[in-house]
Amino acid sequence: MKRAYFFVIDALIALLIIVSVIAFSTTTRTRKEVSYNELFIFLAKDSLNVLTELKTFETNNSYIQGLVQSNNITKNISLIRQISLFLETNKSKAKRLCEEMLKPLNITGKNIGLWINDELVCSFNKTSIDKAKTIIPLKSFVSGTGNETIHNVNVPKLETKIVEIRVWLE
Amino acid sequence: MKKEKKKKAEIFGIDLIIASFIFGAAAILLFHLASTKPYSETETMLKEAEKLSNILLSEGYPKDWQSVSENEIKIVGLGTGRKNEISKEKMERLKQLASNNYGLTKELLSIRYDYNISIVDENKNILSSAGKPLQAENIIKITRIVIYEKKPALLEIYLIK
Repeated sequence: MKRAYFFVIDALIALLIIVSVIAFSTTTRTRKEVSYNELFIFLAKDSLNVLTELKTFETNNSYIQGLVQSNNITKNISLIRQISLFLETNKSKAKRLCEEMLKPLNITGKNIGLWINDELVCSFNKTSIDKAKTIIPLKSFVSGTGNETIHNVNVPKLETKIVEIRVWLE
Repeated sequence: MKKEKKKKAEIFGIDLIIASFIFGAAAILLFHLASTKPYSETETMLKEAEKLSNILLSEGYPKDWQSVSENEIKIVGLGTGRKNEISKEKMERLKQLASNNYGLTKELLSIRYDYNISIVDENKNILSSAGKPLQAENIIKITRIVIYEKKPALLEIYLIK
């Protein structure tokens, strides 16, 4: 009789533990860390997307339209490719083009810059990258081309380049 | 007699091991759950804003939802199909929907909070805006860089409590 009580109580306690664990786990949402860095990754990724997606001839920007009209730009290539080309021939034009395109980022107050083959092209920043505690880099490539004609447009020779957007936090 | 006792002891031994295992697993699970906190309101809003920003950069469903009737729209996305490009027509349709049936736009955007979606240029001029005006105190903002009318602009997404 005593043994029967023991087993019944044992079973009840076990059941109680199991039920309470299940109840607790279904009512408690587990926390997955919200990473504020994700927001900065968006900035880097979006900037790179804009620079690779927009073509020089279609860009609605007075500086670029001026370059198109004066034939100082290759018409049917992405902005990042044009910046890479300028970097080899005219660094100030590369910097200006980069600044024109990343201008909206200036009002976000974030620290962001574009590097090509580890050379800074342009940046918008409040604090120096040297003082940054966290740097979020996003890399991509601009593939190399020979001096060739694509869709009736002459595309100048370009070595493959590593393009990097860096966002940094104090 | 001796043999019987030994058998009983073995049963108790196995029983004890299984019970200890279950108890240990339950204790570990409880400890893990107790040490993880639920999301705070701000974090929930931030997650939702992130999700919303990705929905808005998609094309939506159907892809030409801007030209179909309200009840045919399943997902509101502002994308054109090119990376990070926002369609002016889709933004205008969202504006129109939001002013006619704000509740429906919240459903289509799959959000619980009130929202404001604005496209801002480099001089901080609002090029287009849809949703509630920004007055509440508890606001979460996410900024995405987009192409709007063939130039870079900011897509500012606010969630309002």
